[in-house]
Amino acid sequence: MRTIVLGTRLALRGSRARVAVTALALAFAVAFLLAVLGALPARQAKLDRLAERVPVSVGSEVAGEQQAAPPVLRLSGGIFSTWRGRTLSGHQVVDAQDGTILPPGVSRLPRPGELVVSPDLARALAGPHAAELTSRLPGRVVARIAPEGLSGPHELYAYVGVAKTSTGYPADEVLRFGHRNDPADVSPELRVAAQLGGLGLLLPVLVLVATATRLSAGARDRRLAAVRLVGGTARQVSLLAAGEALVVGVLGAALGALVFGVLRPVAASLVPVEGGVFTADLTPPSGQLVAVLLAVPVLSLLVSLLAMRRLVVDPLGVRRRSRRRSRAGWWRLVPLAAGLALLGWLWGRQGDLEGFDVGLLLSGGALTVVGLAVVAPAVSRLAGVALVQLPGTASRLAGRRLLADPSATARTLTGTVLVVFVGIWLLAFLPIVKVSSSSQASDFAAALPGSSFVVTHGFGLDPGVEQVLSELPGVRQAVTVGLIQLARPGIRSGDENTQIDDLTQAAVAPCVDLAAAFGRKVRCGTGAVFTLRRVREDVSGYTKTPSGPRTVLSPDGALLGEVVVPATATEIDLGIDGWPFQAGTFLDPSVVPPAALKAFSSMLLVTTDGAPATTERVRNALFSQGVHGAQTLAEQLAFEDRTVLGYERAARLGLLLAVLVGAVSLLVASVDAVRARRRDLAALAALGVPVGVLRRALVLEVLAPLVGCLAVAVGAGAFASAAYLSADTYYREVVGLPWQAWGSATGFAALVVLVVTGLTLPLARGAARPEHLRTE
Amino acid sequence: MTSTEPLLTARDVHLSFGATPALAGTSVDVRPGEVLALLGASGSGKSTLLHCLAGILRPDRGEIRYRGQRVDDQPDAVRSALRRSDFGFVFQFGSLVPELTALENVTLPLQLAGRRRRDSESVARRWLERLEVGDVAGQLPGEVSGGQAQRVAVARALVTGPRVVFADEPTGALDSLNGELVMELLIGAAREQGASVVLVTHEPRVAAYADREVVLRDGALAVEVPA
Repeated sequence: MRTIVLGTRLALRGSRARVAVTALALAFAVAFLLAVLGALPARQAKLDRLAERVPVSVGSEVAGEQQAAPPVLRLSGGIFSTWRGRTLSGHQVVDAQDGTILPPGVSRLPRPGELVVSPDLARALAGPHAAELTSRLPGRVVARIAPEGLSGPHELYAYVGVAKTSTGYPADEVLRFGHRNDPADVSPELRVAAQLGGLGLLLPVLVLVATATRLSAGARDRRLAAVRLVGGTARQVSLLAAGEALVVGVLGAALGALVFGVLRPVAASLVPVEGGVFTADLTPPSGQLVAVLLAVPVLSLLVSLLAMRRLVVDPLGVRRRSRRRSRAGWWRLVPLAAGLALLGWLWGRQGDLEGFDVGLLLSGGALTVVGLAVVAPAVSRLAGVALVQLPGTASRLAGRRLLADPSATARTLTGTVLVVFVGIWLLAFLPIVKVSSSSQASDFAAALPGSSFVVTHGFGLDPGVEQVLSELPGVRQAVTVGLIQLARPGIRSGDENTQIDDLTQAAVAPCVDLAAAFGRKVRCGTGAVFTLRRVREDVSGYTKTPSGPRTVLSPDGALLGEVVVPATATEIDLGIDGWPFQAGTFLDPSVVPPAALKAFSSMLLVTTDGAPATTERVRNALFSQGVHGAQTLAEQLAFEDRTVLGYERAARLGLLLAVLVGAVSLLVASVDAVRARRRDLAALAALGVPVGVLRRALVLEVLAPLVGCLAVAVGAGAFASAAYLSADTYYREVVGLPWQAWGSATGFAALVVLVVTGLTLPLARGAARPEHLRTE
Repeated sequence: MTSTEPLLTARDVHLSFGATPALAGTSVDVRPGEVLALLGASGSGKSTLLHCLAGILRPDRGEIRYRGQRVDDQPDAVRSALRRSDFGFVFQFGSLVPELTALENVTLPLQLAGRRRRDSESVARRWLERLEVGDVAGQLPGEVSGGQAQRVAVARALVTGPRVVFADEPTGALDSLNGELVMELLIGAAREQGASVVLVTHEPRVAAYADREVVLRDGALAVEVPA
């Protein structure tokens, strides 16, 4: 114990820089680990917060048929709207009375004409665009919702005091608040992507820790050898090193907790969920927190003791226990080949991936990661062989250095290479996730600008709304499209034994208006029945309406009129054949019985100039018609793909972070390498080698193996991605390999490495000064 | 000054590094209180012989005895304990821990032996004063001159009261003036303590401090010159 204490003191006194850098690297790892451990509780906390403010009303399935205690809190079913791309939600509080139960985070209920809103919404209502909200949120803000009533700090949430609901639905009598949700299910693709992402982030952090522990290794070896010289036993030397490891572990854990505490608000703000995450929610469970803080110093101690078993420290120096210096031989290809072989097993496999396949995939990936780290010295050596063939002193110096110690440069590049491999794999997963959650709005998004509204309404819209919207500034076109059902004469809805084309759908709208909305030049002619030109032949869904007389049936089966579909109807091209035009038929309103348009739901297409103010004007006008959730196509796509977008943002952020962590490792290793070689560089300079040549040699020493290692990493990543994609015919055909994204990611990583190498070049001049020829 | 019973003995010592023989049947005695100089050309095996005598290297063949007991076949812990309690070292390079102050360097062997920090520092300070480097006690080896660093190394070698001090080219990195100062302090302090000194050098000026000189050639004893 006394020796460990002595080692601790020696570490603090003797190698502050080494201890500081290693502790910082460890702190980074600890902070990252705590953030990862806190992510799941944060997600759960968000779900809990949402669940805790769900009103449970009289007659609901959960509450049974109880009676609310008077005075009764009456809430509308809910406000669901959008403002400038952000979800705006809440409830209307109908004729609030004193003494009713209060929603979470609400200190008083809004009376008619009053608002109780979230802090972000209060800011929006006090900001320059407040006018865009006032028709949806009429009244003045009388209170703010406290954090316990919000799912996130940036949520736009409101309790609007009204005399009666404007939603068309009766208000609910609220018994209490709080409804437990089941945990959301995560798709296998997302789970694999998340695991890869976590691995991708953790790897460079571990490489950073490993790099930091090697920092000033030469100085540490000299110190340990000197201790042996004055009579320290091998055990005492191990304990001295353990003392240093203990210091590093304790400092790293404490600093990591501190860094996590300080950066937690930043980390919470980076969590890609709408409305954000409260800082307090990003907290690992206390048991895990304590386990991490205790495990880090203990593991640090154990790893140090294990590492010392591989070293022979004697009074004349330190050497590894292996008999021969490891060579960059062909055996280094074995783990990589084995990893790729496991991944190749999936090649051409059909159907969904089962648990065994996912295990195979992850094992193959992990083995490939190890393989890339193992193969890097061999690539480095090959780069050395190539460099010594080139003319010039710089390439010869760099080549010889690589041949003499191929592992040294390979170690500095490992972090970046692993990030590139995992990043490439991850980038191939994101399109899969995207495709697996495609939306109906994407059908329209191909033919209409993203700023357009496509609003479906169940009751049929007020005919005047089209006119109101058309007159709004910035609105280009507003067209109501009726959606009716056509039947073969004699067929009633609900009849048994109907054929597939006995009941079909048709859209109803003026051809000219529809063509204008889609921005198409169409010859509508004088006909009243049109067929749509197919954009794609493989559209699934409704069956084409056959020609001949068809009856128009109401949803309840009543006969509303008759339409004749001609055999040669005018064919027009709107650039769309997805929902709701799959049936390929649309009719001019003049040939459709007016009662039919009232009986069915209708759809409103609104195209605008795309300005945010116009978007909000349209939304306000629709809100006044009882259409609360109107969104532009772009917003719909964004909301439907919210999970995907969140993962994309998280992946991009993670990759960026991983590359930067890799860059820090590289910088630490490069600076240490230059410092450790001061004497060699000074000797070369003393021989007359220009500093410029030394700098070029340093750059080539990194650049040549980098190119080789990146090529191997990209190849392995592409193979791993292709193997996974090949397991699913649909993904294989639809997704393809994201070569462009891969190119960008690889280019970025290479650029970062070059920038970091460039940053170390000024050190070459200082390192080559003659005074470094003096050893002590 | 010297007695006839050898304190340290090497008998027919052979040692090779790979295919290269470093010592080829060398035998030598070190008597109590004696200053023995090992001389020879570069590569003659004088440093290797010193390392064998000090229990740092194990000979392939032959034996090393200290006070009549074989030490070359003892486990590492025993030889380490011997280095800690009975031997002291002064090398040309690398004998001081660069990250520790002069005082901490001198304190180190005492603390490894289990002495309390305050006691160790008190003893170490006395030795630094005695070797005229008390004023650099708080400085790092890199912050002091070469001569001062070697005197700190001498203080560290003598602080445990060793019976034998091994000095490998102790003045190799010093100018003649500093070299002489270090040698005088080393030999003076060692004689005062009754410690033997095994000195590796190729400088006649340094060898002149020895009671006896042994010249090695190709790993074997070539000439023995009594002082």
